[in-house]
Amino acid sequence: MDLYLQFGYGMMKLSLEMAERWGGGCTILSPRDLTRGQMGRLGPALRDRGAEVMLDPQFYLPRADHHGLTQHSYWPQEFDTGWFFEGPALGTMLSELADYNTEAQCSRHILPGVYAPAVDDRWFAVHEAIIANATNHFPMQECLQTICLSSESLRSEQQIHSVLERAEHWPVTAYYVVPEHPRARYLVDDPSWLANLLDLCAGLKLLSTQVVCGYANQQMLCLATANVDAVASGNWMNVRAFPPDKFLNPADETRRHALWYYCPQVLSEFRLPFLDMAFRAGRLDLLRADPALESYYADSLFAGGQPSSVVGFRFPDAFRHFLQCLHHQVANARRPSFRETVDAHEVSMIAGENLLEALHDLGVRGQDRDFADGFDVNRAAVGALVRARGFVLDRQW
Amino acid sequence: MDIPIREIRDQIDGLEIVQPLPGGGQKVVLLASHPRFGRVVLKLVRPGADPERAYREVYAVSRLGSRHVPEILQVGVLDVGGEKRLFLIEAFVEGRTLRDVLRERAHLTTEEVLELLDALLCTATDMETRRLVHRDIKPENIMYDTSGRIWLLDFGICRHLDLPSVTDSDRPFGPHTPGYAAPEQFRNVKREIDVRADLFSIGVVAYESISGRNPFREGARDPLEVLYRTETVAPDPLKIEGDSQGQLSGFIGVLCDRRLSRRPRSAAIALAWLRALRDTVVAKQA
Repeated sequence: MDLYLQFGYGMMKLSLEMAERWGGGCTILSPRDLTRGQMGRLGPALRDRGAEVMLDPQFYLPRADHHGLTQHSYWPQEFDTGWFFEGPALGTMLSELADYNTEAQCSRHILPGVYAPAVDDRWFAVHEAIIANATNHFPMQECLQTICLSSESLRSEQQIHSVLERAEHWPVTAYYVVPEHPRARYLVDDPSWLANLLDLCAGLKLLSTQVVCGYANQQMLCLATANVDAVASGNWMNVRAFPPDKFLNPADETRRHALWYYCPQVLSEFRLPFLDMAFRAGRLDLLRADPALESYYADSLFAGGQPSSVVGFRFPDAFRHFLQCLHHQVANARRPSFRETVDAHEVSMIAGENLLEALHDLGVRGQDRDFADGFDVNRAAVGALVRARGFVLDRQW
Repeated sequence: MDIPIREIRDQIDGLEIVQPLPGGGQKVVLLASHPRFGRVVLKLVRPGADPERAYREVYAVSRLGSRHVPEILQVGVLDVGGEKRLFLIEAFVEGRTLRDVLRERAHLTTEEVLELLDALLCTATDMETRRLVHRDIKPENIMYDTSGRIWLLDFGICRHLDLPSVTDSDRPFGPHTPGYAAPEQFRNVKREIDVRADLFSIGVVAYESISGRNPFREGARDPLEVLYRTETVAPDPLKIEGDSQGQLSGFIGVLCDRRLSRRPRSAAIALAWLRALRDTVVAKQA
């Protein structure tokens, strides 16, 4: 499995740096956060560094009014569902998007997909109109169809299977899955939701397609068990878990952000005052990332001083550290067979759970980014996948 | 039963009716003696029945050429009092149905189930190649002849995926047998019906043949509850003698999964998986 960069606010420099460090990779550009001109410059610059570029049209909410989106020429200035998807406006939009893709030197093309409060005939009709129209503007073998599902849709096994049964008939060779987390939680605490996401991704993958899951965080390492090809993640939380309201014009954009340190071995993030608790107990070493992950971005936290007093660890360092660690974890998550991948996932759950318990004993807690509940959630979801699709995935991997 | 014996004798050279056989709503089925073919089965469309289904059956079986499906020997039209009634004559398979066997012995051995699955999946593979879906695979339509060879009978509600459907698409239920039909089949979701509907039925037949019970029918109050269970219940995993790695049990579970997308995508794939897993099943020592 590969890690793609999900472009978030302020990620220009970061994406270029990571592309250079990784000798390639793939960045999914965000029109919400970039002007047309910026995408036209950033795309080629990423390509020069050996990276692949895709552009997410972010047409999840066609009536979205975020100024970052409405500034773009492909974004419809007027929108009426019937008129738009049945008339020439859709073709105009796709034609404009194709130009954007060309300018950004995209090697593959993400087709728009609309957020599904519920998967129903209307939603299918919209996507079938997009796919049918896209054939006039894009080489379909280079396209990914967006499937953006609400948390409620993802909680419904019936709706997931409606998507799978319909997708069998679509001339699409790759999917870009965008899942809304339940109750807007960063780490998902609903095993049924996660089991359905695994089922959906595995089902799409078994259609001989490529599957990329967008807006992912470390919990989605379990998607390796569904044989997913890539997950995309980025700097801020809103590119690590899909929030539909991010595409609406905010009343007030000012927001205080806290600095978090990602501890990859426990799949949790901690605010620096909680690292101090480990420091007080003389066990800060427990939190240090394995050198094999090759992240030196957080070294300053482990240089001997009290972590919260370290001045050399800032937001860019936290983001780089998170992405570098996740890059390695993602690369190691998918194994040559389904069983090996499931076993590797379980080993990471056991090791992580044991270490996190030890950290809790020291008073080190990750608050809403603590993975303590996530271990059981992931285990339950992967267990459901093994029962539902284990026999097939053992044979079609 | 309305059997036009005189017309049959007069219009189908030398055919003698031996006895009635269990038939369906659309056709009268008779055991007969034919001067050239010996014992045969005569199927005669009932008065007022839509002959299209019978034509489809002829079309399907004659194209199939499967070693597990009785050959159609003759097709014609009988004039009964001025009314034209389609008939077909097919080879007679002498033996017992799987239902008869299960009534007698409760369940089959592991080796017998492997043989049964192989024969049914071979036939499903033949049907898949010709774009046919049987839609009524159940113990009553599976026959063991006197030499032990397995036959699949009754293509009366067979669907040809490239031809317009005979069934009204607006009907809430498609033709089916509760407890063996896949959810997409009895829900009459035509777009989704393909060979995987037959794979579901084959899975249920295998499940019943091993355990002696149909997981959806047993204990159900009525056919509607059977359908409800088919859509909502995952059968308990089977414990199969000799299936030390659980591969055969897993395979049967995948076949009769209520979710279409979780079943094997084709009969050919299912057959290949079955043959690959056979080595993992330890035959019972004599």
